[in-house]
Amino acid sequence: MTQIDTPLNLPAATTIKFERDARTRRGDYVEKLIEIVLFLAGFSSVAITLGIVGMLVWESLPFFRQVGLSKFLLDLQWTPLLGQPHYGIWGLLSGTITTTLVALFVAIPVGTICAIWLSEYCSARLREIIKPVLELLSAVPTVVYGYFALLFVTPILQALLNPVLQTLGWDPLPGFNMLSAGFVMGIMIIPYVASLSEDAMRSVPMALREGSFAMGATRFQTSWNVVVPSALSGITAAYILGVARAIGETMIVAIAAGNMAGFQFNPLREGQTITAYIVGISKGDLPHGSLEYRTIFAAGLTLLVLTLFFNVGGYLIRKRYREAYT
Amino acid sequence: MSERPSPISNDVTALRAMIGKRKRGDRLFSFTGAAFIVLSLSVLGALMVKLVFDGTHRLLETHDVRADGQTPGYRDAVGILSAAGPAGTLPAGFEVQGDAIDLRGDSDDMDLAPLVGRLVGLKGDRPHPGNLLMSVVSAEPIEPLPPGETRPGDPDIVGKIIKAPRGHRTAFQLVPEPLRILSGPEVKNLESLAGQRVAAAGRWGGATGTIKASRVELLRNETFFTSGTSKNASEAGIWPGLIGTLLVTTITMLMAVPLGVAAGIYLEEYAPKNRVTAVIEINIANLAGVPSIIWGLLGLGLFIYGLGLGRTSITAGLTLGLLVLPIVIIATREAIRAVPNAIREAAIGLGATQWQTVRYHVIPYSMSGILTGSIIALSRAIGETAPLVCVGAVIFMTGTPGLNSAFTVMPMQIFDWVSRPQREFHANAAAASLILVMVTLALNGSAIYIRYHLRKKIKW
Repeated sequence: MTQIDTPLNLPAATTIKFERDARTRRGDYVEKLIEIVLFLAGFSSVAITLGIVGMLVWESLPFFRQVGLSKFLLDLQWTPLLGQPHYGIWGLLSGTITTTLVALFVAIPVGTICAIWLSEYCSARLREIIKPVLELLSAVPTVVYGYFALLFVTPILQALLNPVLQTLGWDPLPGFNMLSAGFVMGIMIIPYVASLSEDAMRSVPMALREGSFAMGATRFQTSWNVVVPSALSGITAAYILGVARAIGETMIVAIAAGNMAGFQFNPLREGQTITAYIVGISKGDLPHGSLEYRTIFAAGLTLLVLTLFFNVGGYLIRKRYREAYT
Repeated sequence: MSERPSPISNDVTALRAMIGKRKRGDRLFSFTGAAFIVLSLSVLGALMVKLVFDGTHRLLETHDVRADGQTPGYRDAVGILSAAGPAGTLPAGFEVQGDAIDLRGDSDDMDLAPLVGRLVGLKGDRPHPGNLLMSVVSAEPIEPLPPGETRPGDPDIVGKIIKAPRGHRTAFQLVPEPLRILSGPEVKNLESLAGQRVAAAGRWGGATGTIKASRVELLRNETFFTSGTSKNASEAGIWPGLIGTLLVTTITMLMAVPLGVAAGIYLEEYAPKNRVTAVIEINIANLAGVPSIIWGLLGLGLFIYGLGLGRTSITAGLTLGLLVLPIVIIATREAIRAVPNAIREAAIGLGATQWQTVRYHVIPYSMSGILTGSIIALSRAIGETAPLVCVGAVIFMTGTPGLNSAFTVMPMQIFDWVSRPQREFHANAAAASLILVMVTLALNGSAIYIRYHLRKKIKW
């Protein structure tokens, strides 16, 4: 008896099963596992944020319980290491505000003008070269900028300003001062301001510029009256992110601005910022759990709240302008 | 407000004047903008010039160190040993050649001209300006003595003579060359030292150059790169910082790159568009803006006191790993977003699973972007100082830092040196800064190059 082997010649009980081989099944598990691992990695950033906030709150809570929030926020003196300690954050905040203002005074005009020039005047080829080179300014390690501020900018400022200060009858510029630290900080954040502003300006539709040119406006008139106002939200976001950068900057002020905390806003004086205080205290060996140890976390929490405020503000404004023209 | 000429008027000259004024304004701004760019970049140039000017000489200088790496103290003679007694015995006398010159004795009528530019010690009062111009290298004895005690032969000033008139009378006794060497373990086998640079303690034997030595020690010639921190600026170096930076950044990259790339892949390829994803996205943007010092506080609270890892290289590496994580995530996401969807569709169309698509198609295509981001993160980690101050980078370190031991990094040493009042330490800070800036600029430059080159090469 010969049986012709055809696919249809099957026993009745046989059913065709698309059985996936073991390899594929294992692959399914691996696939799921990989997704879980990747999710955990993605979620780690949230865990880190929670860790930072939790850490700062947990470590500074005993401080606030002992000192009191009202004293922390209303006292104008910050002298935690003296016999008669004062814990007024304004003593440090004033230094942070002063150096930040000096930095913005440098970075905003220079950064904005650079951005307008790069976006409206410069050829695309040249821009491709200049932009990354300009961004190197913010790649220089801040401790090196600290050296530059203390030993290059300060002597120059002293030579320039001291005769003027003398004729005015003011004190000469001290070796540590907030002016030089703020100035160098401003130079460091020029690329942030310029780069983000330039992005905002370039996302302004060409049609707006063409309209302006058609009316006979020069490039400058177009930039100033059409492009800048159209990109204003993006430019504002750039400024705000620059502020956040300046507030958080540590090494330049720790090296060049001195370490005398005091409630005063004169950039020609020595001053201490929140960041410089944390570094100054951390350099020594603080006993874990002491009130002095807690102060750096309280100062850190203040710093985080400040920068978070500006960063979220900048992020939201940036997101809004991005949606405006797309 | 002055009356402006109406554009409709036929007054051509007024019209021309108006147009000319506007064009001048335009040209003026074009010039101002370019000038501001050049000014900003010239700051970078000034910084480099300042560092080169202040620090280069430290990179080239060498100094003597004892065999155990310690800074040597003052000694009676320094030189090359040309003959030595049998092993195990102290020599009756040996010749010292070269560097050591007997200058002691009455030097009133000494000709100082041949000594110009050499390192000498002076004993006596400080030189009167005009008599003997010295650039003082160190004004204090390198090996401090108990108060009230003096040691004959110790110079009061050690320095280089810049200018010395021929046959000039000085109120000084000159002391031979860098009379600072050793006091450590005795070297027994003197024969093995023949021809080496050594320091000897003992009695100076006069102009012939022989000395009665009671102790002889081998000296090592060290450079700025190979020595550790020191109380003496000219003998301090960056070895511990160099190794520390290498260790710390290695740990940083080992942590940040895999975690950051994984997070970036999840957010771009897997994450559903829901509220959780939106929160993660805002969160990463914020993390990138958290001041570096805050990360230091996190490291202090979490790794040191929370997990008990101590003030070690591992703690520092993990802290910086968290710090640069957002940079890697953001760069990865941008790189992945640039891969066209057609690639993914083609892979899935051929039956690839999602992971296979990512693994064999998306990641290879976004590799250059990930690499660029990692290089930027590395350059950030190398220059970061503030968080490492918080997690306890030490200031004084002579040995080589290990993984689970006390550590220091280059920026920390710069911070320490620049914070000291002595100018000599500032030169060290400049030299180390020069190295640091070169490295970070080279890293950033290569990142720019990779980005630019691949953008030109890959066309979707």
